Amino acid sequence: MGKTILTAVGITKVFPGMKALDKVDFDLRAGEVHILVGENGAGKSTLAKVILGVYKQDEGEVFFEGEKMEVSGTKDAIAKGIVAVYQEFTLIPYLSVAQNIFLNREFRTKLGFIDHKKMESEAEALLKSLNCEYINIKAPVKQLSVAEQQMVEIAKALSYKPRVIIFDEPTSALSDREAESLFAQIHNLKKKGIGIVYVSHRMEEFPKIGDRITVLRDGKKIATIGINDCTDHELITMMVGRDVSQVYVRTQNEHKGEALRTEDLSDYSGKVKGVSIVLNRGEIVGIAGLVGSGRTELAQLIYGINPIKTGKVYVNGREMMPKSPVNAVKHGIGLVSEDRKKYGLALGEAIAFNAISVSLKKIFPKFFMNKRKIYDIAKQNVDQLRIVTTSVHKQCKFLSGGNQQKVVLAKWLNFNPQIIIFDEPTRGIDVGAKMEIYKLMDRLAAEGKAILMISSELPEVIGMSDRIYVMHEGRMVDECKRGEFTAEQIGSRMLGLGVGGR
Amino acid sequence: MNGIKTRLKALPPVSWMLVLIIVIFSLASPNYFSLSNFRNILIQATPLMIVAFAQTCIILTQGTDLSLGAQVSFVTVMIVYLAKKGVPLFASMIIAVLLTVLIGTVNGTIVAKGNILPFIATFGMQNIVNSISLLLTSGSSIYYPSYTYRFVAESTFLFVPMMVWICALMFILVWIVLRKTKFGTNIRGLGGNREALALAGISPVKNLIKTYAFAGFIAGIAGIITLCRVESGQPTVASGWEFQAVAATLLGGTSLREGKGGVTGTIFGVLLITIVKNGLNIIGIRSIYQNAIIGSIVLTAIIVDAIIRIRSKE
Amino acid sequence: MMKFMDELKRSKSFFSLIGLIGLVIVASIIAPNFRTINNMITILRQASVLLILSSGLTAVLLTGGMDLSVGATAGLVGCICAQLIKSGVPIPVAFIIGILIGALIGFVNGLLVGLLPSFIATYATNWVLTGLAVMVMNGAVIYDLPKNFTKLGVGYVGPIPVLVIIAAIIVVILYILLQKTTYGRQVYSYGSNAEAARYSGMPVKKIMISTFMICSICAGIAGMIITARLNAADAAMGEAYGLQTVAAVVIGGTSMLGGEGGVGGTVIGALILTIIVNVMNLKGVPSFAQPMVVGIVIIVMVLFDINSKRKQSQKQ
Repeated sequence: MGKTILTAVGITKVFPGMKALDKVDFDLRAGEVHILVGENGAGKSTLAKVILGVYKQDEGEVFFEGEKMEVSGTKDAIAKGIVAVYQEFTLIPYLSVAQNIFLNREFRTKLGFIDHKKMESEAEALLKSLNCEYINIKAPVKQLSVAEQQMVEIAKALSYKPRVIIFDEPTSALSDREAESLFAQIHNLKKKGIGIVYVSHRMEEFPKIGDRITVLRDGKKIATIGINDCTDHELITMMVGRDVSQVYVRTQNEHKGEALRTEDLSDYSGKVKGVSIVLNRGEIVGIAGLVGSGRTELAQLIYGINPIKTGKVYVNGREMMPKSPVNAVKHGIGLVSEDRKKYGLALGEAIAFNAISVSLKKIFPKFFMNKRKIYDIAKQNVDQLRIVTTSVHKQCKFLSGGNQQKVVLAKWLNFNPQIIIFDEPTRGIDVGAKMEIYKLMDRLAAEGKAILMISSELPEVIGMSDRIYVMHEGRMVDECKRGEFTAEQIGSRMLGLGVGGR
Repeated sequence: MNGIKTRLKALPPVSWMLVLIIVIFSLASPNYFSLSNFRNILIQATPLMIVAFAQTCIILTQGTDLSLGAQVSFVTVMIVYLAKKGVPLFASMIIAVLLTVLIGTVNGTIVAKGNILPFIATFGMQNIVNSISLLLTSGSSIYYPSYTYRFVAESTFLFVPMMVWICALMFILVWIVLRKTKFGTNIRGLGGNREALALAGISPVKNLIKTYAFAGFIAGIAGIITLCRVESGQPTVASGWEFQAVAATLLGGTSLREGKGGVTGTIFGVLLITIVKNGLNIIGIRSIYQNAIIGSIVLTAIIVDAIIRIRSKE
Repeated sequence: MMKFMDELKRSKSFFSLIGLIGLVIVASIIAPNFRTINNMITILRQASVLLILSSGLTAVLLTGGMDLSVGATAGLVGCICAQLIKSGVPIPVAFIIGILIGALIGFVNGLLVGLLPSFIATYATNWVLTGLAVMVMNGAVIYDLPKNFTKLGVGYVGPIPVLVIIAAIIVVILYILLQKTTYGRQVYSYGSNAEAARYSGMPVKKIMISTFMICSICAGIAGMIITARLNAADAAMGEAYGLQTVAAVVIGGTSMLGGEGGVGGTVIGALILTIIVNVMNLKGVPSFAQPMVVGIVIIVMVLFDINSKRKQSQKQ
């Protein structure tokens, strides 16, 4: 293993409402893969963006090959040979693959025009080195599959001939075969002495590629350890901050009859294929699956966001046509969506107005409304859910992630639906708020509500669910009861391995 | 043979509408389908075509420039105004075009730096520019006689009207810019993924300003052509063209999202609109009915197009 | 009262109100004949049509949409109403037909906006409606409408013009509708985040289409009132109002991005605009220069709006 090429010392970064990084140290050696791990919101991506110069740190310094880095913007970082493969794609949809790879470094002819031929032959060579010669370099990237786009993104990073590459959850969109070829490529890069920062939370990948692991939690560095020096269990404990068994609160209670049932449900996009599930009152049912396995699409189908192609949905044994959320809400179904900023909240509106947005007509059936009553209800919500805010008039965009999520929950609590679908309910929020949400889910189940929980965080699904369905590529591949499963089993089913019954 | 088939399929749906409408008009009027009439249509289409090229560039950045029509009218007014003051005609033309480049730069600066929705910024600019034109002319047409107009508007070169040559030149210019230069790549990036541009070290603000200035330049050329056709400075001659140009661009398959499309499709869009206008004249529909009919046809075409696209996504 | 002041300060219309007061002071100084009571009543009368139009448009802007067809809608409905009255239809019936046509236009606009960006769709309908107005008038102008009708435009109740009373009633109705009802709340929610409103089980399509209908109904009423005031109908009579209406709403502090602002601010915006035009008339500024002033005011106000918002979010 080579010498240290990148060091970050005492990095602190504050965003409105939260401290994203708190005095974090980090170092990277040439020819190593240094995995950055932590729960959502732990500060992994923020640290990566500080190193890349996208964010300016509030405190601390970054050294590159012993020299202090003064980067402002990615251009400087690129010039030093530090590049990133981002989680969100940075491709321009209607430019060709070749044009995207060489964006802002276009080859020119003598006349100064873009030399498409040269760019295409260079791009072809790059993709070939990634074993991706099947990608059409002349096609606009819009026409490529998500996995192909990811490979273009990687080719683009390599084309800078970097010293350091930061991968931000690169395999979340890839199939196993594609992931394996990415790992092979990462091994090649290691041999060339390139330092690699690998941000991920897929633990099964770590031993395949990693050398060292740094664990972040709530913006703080917890530890940096060799890949073989700790067990999975220890790693999870470090990430979560306490023994997993303490985090998840589940009281056993009786399940009282069927609340929701789907039969052979499919959608038009082909992301949900013939899914049948049952959900009982008083029960928390988890759906485990990778990003893109169709879990979110299933929730949207039941909630009436997207039209159903085939299949049926029953609520309390009676058939219901989920044509729109209006209809779903009428039948007592609630959805806590995976993206609270996009679908959950009107960020520019006051907490109070968000909190009553579902129950507006229920509170004021006579058309005219009374703002004082709205504020009173919201004040109760703030007390009850311990939402940290100065007043109910505060716009939601000024709240931290956890408090925003609590406002979303308040919205549904005020409406009191009998069936609640939680889609990634704890994404991007701190551990404290997470535990409160778990407690709330447990309480709701005890009250006899039926709860469907979708999550890509395996410990969460295992910790909270009475029953788990596993989804893979649009199909339900497994179902198991509490106590009948281990994390390894479910994890491998999620990846489509050892497909069992159903 | 297969190559031709895929090429035909790649044509925007508007080209099929074009064929359909030509058939309808040919059936409705015996003297419609003639070489001289098509030549006429080409000449009539020219000024709008050039404006639409400018609009296409703007739409590729996810914007719209509602001041383009006002800019065209302004150029006709400004040139005549300056010429009457004794500035040589050619110099007046250059000054007028420089002024539209300036207008475009101001547009782009407001849009990019002020972070304003493009249509409201350029809507405001449309009114400002219109006001200036009206003030310069006191609301009526102004004249400055010259043979240059005839040379541009009526002469031919290799049997093709000069106007069409100029239009073709502008097409090649915009096509090359979009396809063969970094600037063109950046235009598509502005519409497709601004963050990606910024991450690659390209300034979205600078390029946005450049795009609006470029559109101003093209509108300036369209203004010169228009002057040569109408032979006077008319403060409202091109009012509404900005919208016809938006319609033509959308019909031509350029999308308001993601930087998809290009100028080739826009040609079909402009031809469709011009053929409708021309056809209505030939079959003798009174001009007071024409605006409503053209508006409805264009609107229908855009809607059909939008529905087809939404359907094909599902 | 304290609470009222607090709420006022929190809203952006506060700045508009200060602007209005400042403008009145400046106008009184530079144009001595501005201060007369006669001129004040003239301003209110001149502002009435704009108030009706812009209050309606406020509903659309609150959803984050735009309606560029209000001028043409006013023109078309005014022309149809005049034709109906001329051909002997009773005035109240003609008025109701006018309102229904307005509602229909709004409905069509709303449907189109589901397919196209609102400003493009309504720019297109603007074009079509203007064409239809020309067709309705057959290229001519109608004069001499019955007295009972023109009273709406030129009559007085005591010292107050009928026009001002109608405008006030419409403004108050819209204010209550948008501020005091669950419908109004839904409009604001939709404008702040349409997707979140949908996920909250709100009937989003109905909300959006209904705002366009409100806007076009107001435009229709305004068109009939313009006809009554002019005692004539002409296809192009609504044209000049398109820009001013957008300007009044924006000056009043309603955000182009939706969810922020309201009818109260729009009233201030309409008054500011009318005073500017009034003063320009008093000072003999050529009418050709007026669009320029309005255009500049729009751009400046929108710039101000966005930048003040940016500062606000930096502060918190």
